[in-house]
Amino acid sequence: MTNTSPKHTEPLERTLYEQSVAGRRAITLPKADVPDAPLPDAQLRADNGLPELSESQIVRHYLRLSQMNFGVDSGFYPLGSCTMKHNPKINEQLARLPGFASIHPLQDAATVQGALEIMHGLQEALKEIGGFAAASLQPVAGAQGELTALLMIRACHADRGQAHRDRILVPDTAHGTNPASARMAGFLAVEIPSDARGNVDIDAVRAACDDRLAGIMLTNPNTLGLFEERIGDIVELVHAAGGFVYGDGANMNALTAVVRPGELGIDVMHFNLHKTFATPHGGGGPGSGPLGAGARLAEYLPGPVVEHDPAADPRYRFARPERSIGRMTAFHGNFGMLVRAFAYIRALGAAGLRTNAADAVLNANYLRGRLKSEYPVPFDRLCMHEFVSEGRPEGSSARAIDISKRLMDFGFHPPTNYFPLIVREALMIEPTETETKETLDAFAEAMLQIAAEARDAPEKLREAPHATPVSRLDEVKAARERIVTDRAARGSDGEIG
Amino acid sequence: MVNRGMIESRHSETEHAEMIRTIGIASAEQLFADVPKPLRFPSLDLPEPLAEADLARELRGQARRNTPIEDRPCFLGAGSYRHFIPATVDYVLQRGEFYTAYTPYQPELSQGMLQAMFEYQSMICQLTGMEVSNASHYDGATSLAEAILLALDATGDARDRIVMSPAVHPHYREVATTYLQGTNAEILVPDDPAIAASGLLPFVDSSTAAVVVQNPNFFGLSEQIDGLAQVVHGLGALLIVVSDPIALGLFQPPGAYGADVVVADGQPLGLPPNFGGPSLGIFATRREHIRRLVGRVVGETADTEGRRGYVLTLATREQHIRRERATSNICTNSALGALAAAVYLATLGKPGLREVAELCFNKSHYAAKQISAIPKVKVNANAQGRDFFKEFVIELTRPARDVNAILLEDHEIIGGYDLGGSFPGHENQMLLAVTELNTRAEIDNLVHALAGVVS
Amino acid sequence: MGGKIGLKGTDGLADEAVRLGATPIAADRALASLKPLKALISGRRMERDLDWVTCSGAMGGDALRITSFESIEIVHQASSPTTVDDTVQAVQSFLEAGVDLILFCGGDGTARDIATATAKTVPILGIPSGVKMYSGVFGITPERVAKVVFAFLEGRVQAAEADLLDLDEERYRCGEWVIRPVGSALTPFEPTLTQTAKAFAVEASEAQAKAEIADDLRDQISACRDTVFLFGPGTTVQSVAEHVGVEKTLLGIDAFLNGRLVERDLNERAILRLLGDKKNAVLVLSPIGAQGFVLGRGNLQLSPEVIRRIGTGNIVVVATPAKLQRTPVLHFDTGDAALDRELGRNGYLSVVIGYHLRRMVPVG
Ligand SMILES: Cc1ncc(COP(=O)(O)O)c(C=O)c1O
Repeated sequence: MTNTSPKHTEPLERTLYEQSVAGRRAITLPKADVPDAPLPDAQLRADNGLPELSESQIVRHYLRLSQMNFGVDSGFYPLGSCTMKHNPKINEQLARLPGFASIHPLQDAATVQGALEIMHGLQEALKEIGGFAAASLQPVAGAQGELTALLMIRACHADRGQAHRDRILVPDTAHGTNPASARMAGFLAVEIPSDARGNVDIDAVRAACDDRLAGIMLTNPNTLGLFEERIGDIVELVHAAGGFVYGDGANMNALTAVVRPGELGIDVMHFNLHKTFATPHGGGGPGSGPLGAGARLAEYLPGPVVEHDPAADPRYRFARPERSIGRMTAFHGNFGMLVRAFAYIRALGAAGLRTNAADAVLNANYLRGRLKSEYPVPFDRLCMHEFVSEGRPEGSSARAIDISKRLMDFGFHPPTNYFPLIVREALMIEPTETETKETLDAFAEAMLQIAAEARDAPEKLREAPHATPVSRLDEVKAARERIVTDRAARGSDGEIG
Repeated sequence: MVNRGMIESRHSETEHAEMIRTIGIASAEQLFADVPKPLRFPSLDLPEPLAEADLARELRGQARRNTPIEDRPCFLGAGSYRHFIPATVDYVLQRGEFYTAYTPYQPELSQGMLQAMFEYQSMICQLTGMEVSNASHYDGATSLAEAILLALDATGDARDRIVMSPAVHPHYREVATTYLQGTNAEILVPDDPAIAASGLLPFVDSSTAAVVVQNPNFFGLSEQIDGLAQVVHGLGALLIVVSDPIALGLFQPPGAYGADVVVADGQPLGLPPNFGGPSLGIFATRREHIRRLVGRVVGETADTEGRRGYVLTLATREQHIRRERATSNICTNSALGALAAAVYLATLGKPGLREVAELCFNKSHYAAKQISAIPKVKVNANAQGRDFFKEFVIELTRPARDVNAILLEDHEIIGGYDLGGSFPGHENQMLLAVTELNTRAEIDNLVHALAGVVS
Repeated sequence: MGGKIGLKGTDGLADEAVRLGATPIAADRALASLKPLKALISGRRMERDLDWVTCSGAMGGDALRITSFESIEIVHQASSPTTVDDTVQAVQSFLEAGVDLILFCGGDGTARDIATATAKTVPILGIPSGVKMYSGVFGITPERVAKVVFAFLEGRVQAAEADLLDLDEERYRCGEWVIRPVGSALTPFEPTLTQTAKAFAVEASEAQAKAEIADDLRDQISACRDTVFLFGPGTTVQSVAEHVGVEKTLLGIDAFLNGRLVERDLNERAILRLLGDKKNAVLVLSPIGAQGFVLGRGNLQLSPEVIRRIGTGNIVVVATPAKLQRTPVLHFDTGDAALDRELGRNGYLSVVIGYHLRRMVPVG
């Protein structure tokens, strides 16, 4: 990323609309080879409001924009809870094969047997990795997986005459999507505090287990990067009270081939393919959040799912689980992501997946060891794939956000800030397994240097970043003015938008 | 590879040893001491690992077992379409700075994605005639589900019913129904699939939060929507319109006829069908609902030196701030799909999108006309005299399923959508989609083949 | 170990409590601290090394004699009724006698008077027995005061500075509940045994959070027709009530039925009369920030009898997440230990912190 320092009043890159000139085009379309049909004049619009540009303008525009963006391919991206690992390039190539990208979701099953076999293979792999009885690839993101799982729990309670069970326990370290999903699924969320070791406070769980309990949402390892030490007891308490245990599998990267969540007693869990199984994050999606379910909830999984019957023709077919809650997306989930995740699992096998987990955990602990003198870790025990430290070095008034911004000057993407909520000035650091020791060392050096600067030259942090195309941006102004579309698109009168 | 009993590492022997020392443990296995011993390190029954070359061979083999629609005459649509994708789109999508990034939480490192999203929002607002757009939802169906949640929230507790046209995509209806399982709300869908939008009005009352219509509808027909919004608003409900973004290149935007929320599936805008996903959910609304808008929104601002820049804004609506009271739980969305759509729309531009829409219109009308000349085949039998855009329904003398099998086997044509799949009793009907990519020759071949099948 | 303690007992504040419907309890409170303290130190060397200086009668001497402490010196003759001057003079005498700690009964007003007189020369510790006890110099319960004194005498806890807070009487008369800092004092500080001063952090989202709590409460109200909703004192409950659409006094306990006001500013007898023996009731309370008292501070109208009548299962406790963040532990101090135990029987209380959102908060 370069600092192109133009005059400050001039934007770094003019918008498409600012560059638009009437009459310019980037593409010509096939000539009409059929007669014109009469258009219904009353329904036509005069202007569709799109800009007009040439192809070279468009290419340069987006190329310059890409140069103002930072991805895993650009450098170290220890964004906690997001598992920003390297995305193998072969998977991109394979997912773009016309046999995958260019098949229609409503084609006859006989014409997509390869696709169905891959989906089936992935279902089986996720069952095996998770220790589940069944899997559904419908959910298209982790959050949607959460919602889906909660709707399954809801449906199952209703079928058992337990519709009054309306409470879902959610630890206070949980990702924000957890309570939001609970609400969307019509539950009342009961926040459970954390104990002094960073575990879910089991006594609070016990106190909350009553006949209105529908279940608990457990993230393991939790968002402090810690393995729930008493997960067995929690599961037992919740089951004994008639509830289900939902697992937020966002942090599965620590546990692939290390332990099967299903064997820990998790009844239903989402996998984040865009984390654990290296499908790229796309600048904010698409993701994929398949579900694995144990025997008690399997028949409620969303459908369609892929079934395999070697004796049938065709052998692979879509089917609905017995008491399926229904569809979660228009078609079959994010198939393109499924292909990439399947390829990833195929390439690694069980041994590779375990090595992933082991190196992810090793790397996180190594960084924790190197950083904790300057960045105290409030729950200081061996961590899993990530750890959360406090971004307020001794003897300075610097905050997590300052440290994050200063990290950019060293060529690193900052860690996750201010989450989980229970740690002050949280810096959530997840190095992933795909980083070399040199990278980890360089990051540690930068962090330690920043801590020293925080004491000796605090303005370096306060004014950071210095090496990015823009300096700190005014978020308050954005929220106040709410300019969410381009003035140039709206025209001078600013009518639309 | 370092091998230490159950644990291997990709670090070198010396590196590994040094890391273990820094951590202050005796061996890497100790890292997993919190995992219950009896369950630790299960042996997984997964296929052996594959080298990149072998992996490529295996997956190419699987890909070959599918029949892509790319270079075949294809008349299948029903929510996923074969449109031309300009080369610019994949050129941009393959930039590692974009596709290996995540949500632009750190704006100083994400100006590229943020500006692209801002431009996407701007173009979507222009196309739909709305004032605010999010930076993407998962797909058209989930956009609709969340638009319904928005309407339920905006219209208050007393309104818990959604009146939905039976000509809304049946899968969208299913998804919306699933999403509403956690609420008291219900969706009312009149039985007659041929009902016109105005026929929904008798079902609207003081318990209605929203009326949902699709335009052009699932059967390709344009709905007569003039005046509908006024009546719906007069009854205190919102109007949600499911749209086709290609049609918006040519036809009135839903904003012009009073829609409160416009949703659409963005796949036609530069995304391959991908067997149904990933796709892109378009979600736009009026400014008065900006605080209820779901998902990410990019806003313009300035840096400390007054330089223009972009940030994610209005985050207090979102789950990571509002948690249980967020407007939605959506986090990861379809940013890359929105990027594809933005590049597509920029490349097509004002005249291009209009021309694509005109081509779809002309070619589908040509196909309809030719097919209607086949004896015993009826076109839009239940919708005589109604306009359509790029899809229409034909009624055959035998099950659509069988006809499709013959079309594929004997003519290598991918036929239309068998309506019997979603509308019992309509087994002899199929929905045909004709886009700019269907040549006249393809259409003529289809007509010829159909004539043979029904005679 | 050991030392000299000045004890200042009950003064006129008890009358204020009586006026609000409570029985005069301040005198009992002194005993409730002194008895366990006696038990703690008896047989130890510090029992011999402990000297008391105090005032006559209800202002200290009586309580010490009842508890049979030995070395008691009366250094101030209290007037009747006692006045602020009494307090100031007593403290002067304590200081002249060279005390190591001043123990007193009362609330924020007394704490403030004593703190002014000591000017941070010796630590002070309050036995909670007033109406308002927001300052950080009060023990959580009289029993725990005994433990703090014991720990202090053993040299295990040090004196630390704590905030003194008090209600702004001026603005209170205009109907506003404003607690403001009025200074600081030294107090023997043990985090779990002494109340932390009520914190002030006001977050932008506080109003939003209260609106959401109100949404939740509205659901509960509409689900419980013909149930009397009693709204307790404080700003949280007041603004939640406002969002629910009812107008509520700041300090009083107001009753509503099916969304309509029934009666304002109820005292103990009025509550019991209103509920009779038929009506179902739900009591809405918010803990005192930082200190965590749900019952026993600022709502003495809610006597054990009232709580039993309402039913311990019918208490809805509300608090914004920000308030709970500085209020890690909740306390009950109804004056009836068995009832306190019942209220905290799970060890946790489910507190409404947002719409359809609860948090399990430990009960101390
Ligand atoms: C712990 C945790 N749970 C759930 C999610 C939600 O997943 P998604 O963004 O795929 O919806 C995330 C994502 O960031 C997460 O970190």
